[in-house]
Amino acid sequence: MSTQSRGTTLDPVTFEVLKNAFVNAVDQMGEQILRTCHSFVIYARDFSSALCNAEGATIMQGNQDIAVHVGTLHYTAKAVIDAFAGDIHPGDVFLINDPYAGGTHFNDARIVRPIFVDGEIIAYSQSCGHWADMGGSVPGSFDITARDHFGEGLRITPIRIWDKGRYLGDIVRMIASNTRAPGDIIGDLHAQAEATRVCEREILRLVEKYGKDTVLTAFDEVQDYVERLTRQRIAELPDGVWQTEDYIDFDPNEGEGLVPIKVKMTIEGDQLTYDLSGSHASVGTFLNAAFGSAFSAVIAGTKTFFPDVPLNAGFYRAVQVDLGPVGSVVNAAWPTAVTGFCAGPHEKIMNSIFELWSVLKPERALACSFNLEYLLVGGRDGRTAEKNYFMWYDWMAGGWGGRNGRDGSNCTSPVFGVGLAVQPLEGQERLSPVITTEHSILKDSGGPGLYRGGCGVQKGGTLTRAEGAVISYACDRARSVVWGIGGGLPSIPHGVWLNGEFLGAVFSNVDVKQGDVFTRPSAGGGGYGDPLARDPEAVKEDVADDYVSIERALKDYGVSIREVDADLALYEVDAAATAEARAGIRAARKGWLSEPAEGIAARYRAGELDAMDCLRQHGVVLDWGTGALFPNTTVTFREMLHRRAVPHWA
Amino acid sequence: MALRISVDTGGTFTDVVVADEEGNLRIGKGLTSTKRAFEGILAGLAQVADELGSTPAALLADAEVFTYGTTRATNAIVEHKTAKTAFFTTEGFPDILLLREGGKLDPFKQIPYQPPYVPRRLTYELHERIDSEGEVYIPLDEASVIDAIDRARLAGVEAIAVCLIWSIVNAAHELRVGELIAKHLPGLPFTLSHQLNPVIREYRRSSSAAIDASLKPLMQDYLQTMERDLREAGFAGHLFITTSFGGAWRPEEVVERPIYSIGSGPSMAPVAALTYGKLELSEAEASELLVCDTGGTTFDVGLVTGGEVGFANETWIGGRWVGHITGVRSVDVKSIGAGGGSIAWVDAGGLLRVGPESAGSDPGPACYGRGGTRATVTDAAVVLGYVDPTYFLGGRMTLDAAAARTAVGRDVAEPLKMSLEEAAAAILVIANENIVGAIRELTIARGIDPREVTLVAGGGAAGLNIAPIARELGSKRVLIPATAGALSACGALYADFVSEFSTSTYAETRNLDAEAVNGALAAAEARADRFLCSLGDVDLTGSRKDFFVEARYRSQVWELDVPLARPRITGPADVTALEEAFHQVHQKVFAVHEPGQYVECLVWKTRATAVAKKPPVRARAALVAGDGSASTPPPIAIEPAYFRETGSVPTPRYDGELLPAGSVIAGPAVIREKTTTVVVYPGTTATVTSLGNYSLEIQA
Repeated sequence: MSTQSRGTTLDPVTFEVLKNAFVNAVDQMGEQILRTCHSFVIYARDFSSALCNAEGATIMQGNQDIAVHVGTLHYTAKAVIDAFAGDIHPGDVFLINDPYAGGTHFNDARIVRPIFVDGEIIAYSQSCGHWADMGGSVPGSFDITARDHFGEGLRITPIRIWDKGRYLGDIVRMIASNTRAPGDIIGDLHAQAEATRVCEREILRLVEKYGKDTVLTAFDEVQDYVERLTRQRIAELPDGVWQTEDYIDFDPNEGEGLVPIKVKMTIEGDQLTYDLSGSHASVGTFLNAAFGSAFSAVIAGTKTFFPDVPLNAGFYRAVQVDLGPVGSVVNAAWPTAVTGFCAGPHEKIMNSIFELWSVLKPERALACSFNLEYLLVGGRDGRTAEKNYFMWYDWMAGGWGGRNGRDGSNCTSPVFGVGLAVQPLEGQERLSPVITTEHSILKDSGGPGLYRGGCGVQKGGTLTRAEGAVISYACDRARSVVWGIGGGLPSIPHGVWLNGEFLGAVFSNVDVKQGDVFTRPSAGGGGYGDPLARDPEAVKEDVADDYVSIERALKDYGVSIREVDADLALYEVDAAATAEARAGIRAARKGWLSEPAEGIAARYRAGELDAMDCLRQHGVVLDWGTGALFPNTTVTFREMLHRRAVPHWA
Repeated sequence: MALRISVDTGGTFTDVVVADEEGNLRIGKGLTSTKRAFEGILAGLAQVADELGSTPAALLADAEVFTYGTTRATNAIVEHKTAKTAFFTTEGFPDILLLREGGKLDPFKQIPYQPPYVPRRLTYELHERIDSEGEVYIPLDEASVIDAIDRARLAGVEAIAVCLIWSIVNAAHELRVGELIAKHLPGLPFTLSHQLNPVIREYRRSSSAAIDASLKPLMQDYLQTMERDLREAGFAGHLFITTSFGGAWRPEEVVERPIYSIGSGPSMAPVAALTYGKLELSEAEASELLVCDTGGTTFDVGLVTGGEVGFANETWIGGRWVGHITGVRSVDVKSIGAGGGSIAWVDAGGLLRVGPESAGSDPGPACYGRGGTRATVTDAAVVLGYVDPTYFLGGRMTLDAAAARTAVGRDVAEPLKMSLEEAAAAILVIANENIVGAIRELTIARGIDPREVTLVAGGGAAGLNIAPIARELGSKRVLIPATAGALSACGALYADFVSEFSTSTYAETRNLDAEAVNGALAAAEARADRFLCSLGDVDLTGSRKDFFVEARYRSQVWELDVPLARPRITGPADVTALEEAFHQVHQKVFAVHEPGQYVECLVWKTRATAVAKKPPVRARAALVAGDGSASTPPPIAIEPAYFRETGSVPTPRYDGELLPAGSVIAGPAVIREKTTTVVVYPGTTATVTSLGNYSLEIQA
C-alpha cells in the first residue's frame, strides 16, 4: 500500500504529540465559538472546525463537530483557494456559504483564514457555524416549498471579508442586511473569525517549537496515518458488494410514491467504495442534497463504524464516493433548493450505510433512527409593547434504532448531529408567545424487535399572544416510516397535528393564531430482530418503564401482561397466554402484509386500527389525517418489509 | 494547646492535617474506611500522634476546630445509595430529568446516558402551570398534589424533590406544595427547587432539587454519627463541614442543603493554593493561579483569577451531559481523565496512547502489586527512576519495580521497538500532552492565557511531571507546597465560612422596579445575616457581605454573576452602575459586550463570608535554622534516572526535610517528601522557599 511504503519519518512520540496538538487546535476553535457565538443554534453545537493544508485537504476536524458538516470543510477551503489563487495575503479572511461549491446549506457560513509562515501559506483554519437566518422567504431560511436557491436565501460564493488585516465592513453589512438577524450575523462572523485566529496562533506556536518542516511533515503524516488505519480495518473485512435503499416521503412533482435513494457499497482489498447512482432525480421540495452534503452523509455514516479513527483527508482518501449523475436528489445542481438536505437525503444515506455495515459488523448493527426535524413558529410577540419579531425554533430528541444485543437509545439527538442539545423550554418561553404543554417520552414509539428501537418524545404547544404568526416544519418520514432490520418492525410516523388536523412532515407558512394547539411526536428507532423472540421479561420491564403499553405488548410482541399495581410498577407475564398469542401472530403475520390495503385504510378511518397497526402489521401507509390510502407508497413500503423483516421471521 | 484539625476523606486515603497555634503542620494518611469514616480519621490521627508522642484522644481534646471534608454525598450518588426520592413536577413534563441539556463528548460513539436521577415510577405530575411572566396559566389543583403525596407514601419514598415550571418567577405553587407535604407527610425531608437553586432552565433546577432531596436523610445520619463519634472520642470544639463553595458550614446547614457537600474536597485545593500563593509569590503572581491536583484517575484543575477562587455551576456526576448536573454554584474544578493510573497502550495504527482507561487505585498500577498488570503512568515514573519504590507514601508502601518494568516493556517498549526507558519517557510525554491539551481548552473557554499564570501543584504525584507540563504551557513558575500530598485538607485549614443566599425576582434595567428588587435583596440579606449570627460563638477576625445579581442580555439563555456596588438600588445611578458592571463582566467572559443594551436581572444574591481565625502559615521546623544563606546539603544518594533530553544520568536524591530555606537545586534531581515527590528536570531549578515549599523555575 502506497502509504506504508512511504513510511513515517517523524519519531512516534513527536508524531503523536503533533497529532494531538492539531486535534487540540481545532477543538480550541470550538471552545472559542461556544464562548462567543450569538446564534443559539451555534450554541446548541451546530458548528464545526477544521485545519486544512495549503491545498485545502483536511488535516484535522473537530472532535465534537456536528456530523452534518463532516467531510465538507475541505471543499469550501478548496473553493476559496481556487477563487483567490495567487491573491491570498497575510491578514486576509474569507467567507463562503455556497452549497453548490461543497457547502451544506446557506445557513452554514464558513470563515477561512490562511496561515502564513515566512511568506508561504502552510495551512488554512476554518470555522463553520449555522447562522440563525440567511434571508429567503421564511424566518430561519427553511422554506420547504422553495423552488430554488432564490427562495432559500443569500448565496455567498467565496469573498474576502478582511483584506490584509483591514476589515471590509461594507461587504459584511450588505450581507447582514439581507438577513432577519443582522446583529447576530455580524456577531457570529466576528466570533468565527476570532476562532480561526486561535487555530492560527496554535499552529504558529507549533512551527516555532518544532520547525516548519516538521509541522508540514506531520500535516502529511497525520493524513497518511488515518488512511493507513482505515485501509487496514477495511482490508480485514471480506470483499463484496452490498446494497440497499431508503426513501424520502414523496416528490410533489410526481404525486404520491416513495422517492428512492440507493446506496451500493463495495469492498475490494483495502478500498471502500460507495455508489449512489440510481437515486431518484431532485425533488420539488427543498429535501435535496448537493454534492458536499451527500459526501458528508457517506463519511459520517461510515465514521460511525470507525469511532476511534480521527477525521481528516486520509479517511476521505480511503473512502471513494460516486454520487452518480448531476441532477439527482443526492447530487443536486444549482439552482435546485437544497436547504432541507439534512432532513432529506442526509438521513437516508446515513441510515442506509448503518444498515450495510450492520451486515458487515453484526456486533455493531443498528436499525434506522428517527428523522431530524425542525419546527418553526414566527410572528409578532403581542406580549410586548414593541411587538418584537419572534422565532420559536425547536427541534426534538428521538429514538435510535435497536442494536444487536441492546435496545436503541431513548430520546437522543438525531444522527444528523448527535451532539445537538435539547433547548430548555424556560429558555424558549420568555422569548416567544408559545407555551410548551407537554414534553415526555412517547409510549409505544420504539419499533418492536428482539431489541427494541429507542423511544421518541411527544411535544405539545399552544400559542398565546402571537400576532401574524406562521408555522413551518422541516422533517420527513411521515410515509417512509423509520424501519427495523433483521425482522424488526417500524416505529411511528413523523408529522405535526394542528388543532387535531394532520399537517404532515413537511409544510411551510401555515397561518396560526392565539389558542391554536399543535403537537408532534419524534419517532422512535426501528426494531432489531424478530419481536416475537424478545424475552417476555424484557417486555414486562418496558411496560413497567412506560415505554410499551399493555395493549401493544400483546399486539407487537405477543406478550400478555397483567397489571398488579401500576403505582409500584408491578406487572406479571401470563406465560400461557403469551405462548398462544405468539403462535397466533406467527401463523398470521405474513398474510397480514398482503391483505387488501384499501380495506385496512377503511378500518383506520373507522377507528378500528391505528397508525401502528397499519404500519407494523399490514405495511400500509396512509394520510394519517384523512385516512386516505397511498397505494404506490404502500406497495414500496410492503416490499421494504419483505426485505428487512419477513425473511428473518421464523 | 489549641489545635486545628482538618480532614479530607478521599476514595483511597483519609488525609488528616493537625495545626498547632504556631502553624506547625503534621500530616497523617489513613486508609479510608467505607463503613465508618471515623476509622480512617483515627488512623490518620494516630500517625500524627505518634510523631508528637501523643494520642488521638489527646489531640481531639486539644482541638478547638475540626473541619471535615467528605465525598460521602458523591459516593452515595455514584453507588446509588441515596434515599428513595420522589420527584414532583408540572403535568406534561415527567421526563425533565431524562431530557438533559444535550451535547456529547464523542459524537460517533454511542455513549449510554445514565437513567434519570429519579425513575419515572417515582415521578408525580401535578396539575398546574405558571407562565414565563409569572402569571398562573393553570391554577394549582390541590387534589392532584394530595394524590401524589398519597401515592408517594404508598411507594415508601424517603424524600421529595419539587420542581415546577417557572417557579422562579412565581413560587406560589411550589410553596403550597411544600406546605401540603409538610402537613401530610410530617418530618419527611423535601427540597423546593426555587429555594435551593433559583436558576432558569428546568433541567438543571430539577436536577439540583432531586439530588439535594435524595441526600438529606443520609447526610443527616452520617453527620450526626460523625459528630457523636468525635464527641465520644473527646472532641469539644466546633465542628465544620467543607462545602463546594470553598468554605465551611456547620453540620446543620449541610443537612439543610446537602448538595453543597458534593465536590467539597477538590474545592479546597484552590483555597490552599491561594493561601500559599499569597505568602510565596508576588501579589500579581498570586492573583492568577492554575491549581493542579493529581490523583490516581484524574488530574483536577482549578483557577484563581483576580485574586479570587473561580466559581462555576457546571458540576456533573457520572460524566458531562450523560450523568447528572448539580447545577449549583461551586468552586470551578475540572477533572481531566489523566492520573497516575492512566493506562498506556499501542493502537492498531502503531501509535502510543495513554488513557482514557485507568487502573485507578484499585487494582492500580502494576507496581502496586494489587492485581494490576497493565502499564500506567506511575509505572513509567518508576521505570524512569523518579519514584523511590521503598519510600512511597513516606515508606508506608513498597512498590514492585520489576512489575513496572515488565508492564512497560511488554505493553509499550516491545511493540514500538524502543528501549524500556525510551518507552517510559514516551508514556509521560503523551500523558503530559493530554493534560496540556485539556488545560488549553479549559483556559481558552474562560479567556485565560496559561502563559500568564503560575501553577500550583498538589497531589501525591504532583511533582512527577508538572515541570514539563508547565514548560509546554509556557508557564514560567510552579509552586509545589511541601504539603502537596494533602492539599485539600490543608485548604480546609485556611477556609472561611462562606454561604450564598438568593431570591429570584425578575427585573429589567430599562424600567427597574426598585421596590421589588430591594425586597429581594433584603430577603437574601436577612438569610445571610442569620448565617453570620449563627457563627457568633466562633473565633472570627471579621465578616463581610457581597451582593450580586444573575443577569443577561435579552434573548440570551445563560446568565452571568455581576457584583453590585451597593446592597440596595437607591436610584438611577445604581441601575446605570449595574448595567455598566454587566457589560464589563460580559466583555471579560465572552470577549464581547453590547453597549446601550438593557439587562435582564433574574436572581439577587447575598454572599456572606465570615473570616475564620486561621493558624499562621509558618516554616517547617527543620527550616527554622536556615536564614537563606545556608548551603545546600549533599544529596542522600545519587542514583540513575532517565530523562528524554539527557538519557540515563546519575541523579542526586534529596530528602526535603533536610533542605534549608534558600537551597537551590538544579536539575536533574529528585526531592522526596513524605507525601509527594518533586522531580527537578534538566533545565529546571528548584528553590526551597522560606516556608519550606518548592518553587520551580521553568526555562522555556
